[in-house]
Amino acid sequence: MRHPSEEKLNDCVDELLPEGEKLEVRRHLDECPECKQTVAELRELIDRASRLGEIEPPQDLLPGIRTRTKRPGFGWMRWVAAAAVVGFVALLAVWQVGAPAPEPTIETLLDDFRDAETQYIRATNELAQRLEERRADLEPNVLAVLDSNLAQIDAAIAEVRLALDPERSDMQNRQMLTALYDKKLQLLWRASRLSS
Amino acid sequence: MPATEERGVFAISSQDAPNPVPALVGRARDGDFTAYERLYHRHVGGIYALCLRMTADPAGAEDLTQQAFIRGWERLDTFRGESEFAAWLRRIAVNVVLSDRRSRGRRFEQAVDDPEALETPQRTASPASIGAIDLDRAIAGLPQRAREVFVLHDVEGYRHAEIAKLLEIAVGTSKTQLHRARRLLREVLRA
Repeated sequence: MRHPSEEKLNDCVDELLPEGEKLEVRRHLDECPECKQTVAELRELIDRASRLGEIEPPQDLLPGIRTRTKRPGFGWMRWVAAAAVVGFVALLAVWQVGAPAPEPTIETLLDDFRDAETQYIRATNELAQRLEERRADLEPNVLAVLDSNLAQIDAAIAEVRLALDPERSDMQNRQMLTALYDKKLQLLWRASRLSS
Repeated sequence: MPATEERGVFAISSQDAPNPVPALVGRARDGDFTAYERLYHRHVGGIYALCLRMTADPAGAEDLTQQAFIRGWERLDTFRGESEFAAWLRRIAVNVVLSDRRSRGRRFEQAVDDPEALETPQRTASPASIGAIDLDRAIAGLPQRAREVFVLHDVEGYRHAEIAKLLEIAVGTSKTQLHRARRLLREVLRA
């Protein structure tokens, strides 16, 4: 009796054989206890390998990870700033789809918007200050790109703020302002991670 | 009142979040290292097992596990959530292990790719069951290339084309090494 090669038996178990060859091997297995045993062992081995579990390391590796990881150190500011942006977005949504009952007055909405904006500006200023303290850690070409982008965003913010009607909802400009704040936030955050 | 998993403003209710991993990943991506530490505790067993099985070197596997988590932290921005976080982290770990091996050079590779290696199992860690111990010990004793291919294919579920790319070998070589590993393991486990 001519036995299939080891490769063919493995390919049969791995479902890699073309249909014709698969049938041929199966017919052989029906008649050959030796190859049938090999295939059974292969199947058992593969099954056991796929069920191998986790292994806990003998010691806690976290301290080493902590010391070797560049930690930003002021992640909370990202949260504060993100919360501010979420505040903006929520306010804009309220303006856009109509306020839930009881309907807030435009004065209330504007007050909320100003509060969120103040919170956002505080967070970005602190991020910017931290970044300023670590400028020496950044490559000159990175700094140049960063400064140029920040200047462009600040100029755009100033322009939109100038056009914004402070007494009305002015959806379009507030949306644009929110997007710019978010852009500045993202940029500062990325830069702060590079320098930390 | 449901128990909360976190304290403070960003509290997450365990009832609201049956799978907290995506939330933890989101927070870690935003720079919250405490969230990343929790991800570490969830996944370290899987990552260490992978590194240990690939290298058969308990001390080296500890260092590689640390490297994998450090790289994961540094690259969190690239995790888009299309795959499971665990799978993403395991891929990072595989790359860490293989790039570490490459950096050690060919001499090291030839020294450990010893056909007699199966006779001197190097495994010392303690998996849960006797069967797993036997198999893990036998895997640890495989020649290096055969062990890597076996772990990637039969334990981690990679395909030959992916393994060939990762190990910079031909698909046919990947298959040959897998068959060799299976044959050696069957012999050891039968004995």
